[in-house]
Amino acid sequence: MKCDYGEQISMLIDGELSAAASEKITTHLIECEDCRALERDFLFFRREIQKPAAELGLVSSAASIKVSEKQKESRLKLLFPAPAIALMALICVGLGIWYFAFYPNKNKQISSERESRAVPETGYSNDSSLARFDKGGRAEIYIAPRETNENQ
Amino acid sequence: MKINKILFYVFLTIFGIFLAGDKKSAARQPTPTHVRFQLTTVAESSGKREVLSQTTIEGAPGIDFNIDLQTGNFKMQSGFLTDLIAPDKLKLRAALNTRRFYGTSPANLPLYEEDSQTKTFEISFNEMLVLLPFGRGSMNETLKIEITPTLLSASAADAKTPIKINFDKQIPSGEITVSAVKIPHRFIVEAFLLSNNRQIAAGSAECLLEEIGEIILDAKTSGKPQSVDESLALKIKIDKYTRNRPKDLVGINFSVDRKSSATGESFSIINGAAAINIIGEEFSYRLENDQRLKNQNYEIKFRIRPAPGEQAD
Repeated sequence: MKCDYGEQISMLIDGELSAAASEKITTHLIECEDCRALERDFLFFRREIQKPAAELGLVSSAASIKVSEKQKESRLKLLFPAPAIALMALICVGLGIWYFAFYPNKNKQISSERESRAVPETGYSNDSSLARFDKGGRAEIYIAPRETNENQ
Repeated sequence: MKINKILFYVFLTIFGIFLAGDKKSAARQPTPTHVRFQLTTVAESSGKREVLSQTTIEGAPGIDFNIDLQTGNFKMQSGFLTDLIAPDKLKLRAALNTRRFYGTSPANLPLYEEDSQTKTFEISFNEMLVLLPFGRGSMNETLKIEITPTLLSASAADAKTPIKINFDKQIPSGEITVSAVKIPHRFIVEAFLLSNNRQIAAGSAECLLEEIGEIILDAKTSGKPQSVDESLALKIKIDKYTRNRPKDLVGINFSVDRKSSATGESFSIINGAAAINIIGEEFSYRLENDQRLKNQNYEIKFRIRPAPGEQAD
């Protein structure tokens, strides 16, 4: 191929050329068989690439292919749109917070289950026995006036 | 006739003196007394008071009783030694031991939280002792065991009757058990210092059960060229009285210090020795730890008997 318009043909297909440059390349394509073949190849590859995106419905219309003048600077194309990526990131953060917040409690639950499985000294349940008064405090003994408690 | 009258009046006078003396001696005799302990288990919840159990123990002064509680993962053993130290005052020595299941170790072995307390109270008969097995805990729900002493007069016959325990109201689950026993608390401890099987010093003291008493044995030798101006201080504690047949046993812990009256210095000869022997019988202990005493073949003999008025139930 003698012409050196490969890049410009690609930009023409992407709509990234100015009006004057587009007209120039279009005129050249009429005259040059090799460049027309190159254009066909570019179009073929673009169709093949856009097929999965079209099936998933992530590309709304053919018009989205054309990049506006303001978006010419960014050539990076994302497979998913930004809102979807933000939503997925938020879900991952939420899962992480839930894991670290509640997983230690799960361990405590297992430990307490193990404690409750330990056979009590007497075998009495905590509901009806004096164990309901046991809050883990230390035993105490002291002198108290007799009259005060008798009056209660 | 005159002689008969004189003899009659003399006899009357003697008889009157005899009667007066008998009344005085009767007045000097202490009035037999009994002490009654009322053990009341109370549940206080939101200002309400519910009596769960009540037990009454009555007997001659010097009753020992135990209150044991076992529930869930908690166990409490409490022992009380009581002595009437004054007509209106009681000495209560309490020993509390608790044990609570805490959890499991990383090796899946059980872990327990244990506590031990000993306290001495002097309580008058218008006061009571309150035991909180689980501590003060929540203000809304507390379990209390109230120990209320009462001094009662008793006849001479009743004074020697065995302890009475009445379970007025019991907890159906049986989580609280009460037991009582009457053993001597006051003992006369006699100690004799022997040198080459010859008694050279003696001493005695009245000791209270589980309290340390001290006996000084003056080891001054006589008739020897060198006099030993020293004394032995014997500290003894009767820590156990065991009911046994044919005779009861008594266990002691003692230590012996050698004190120099010239320098005032004190040296430990025996520390933390223990012995157990039949009450009223002699047992001896050789002093071989001190080189100077060893040459004299020193030996201490003990004889322990209950103090007058003390008896086992």
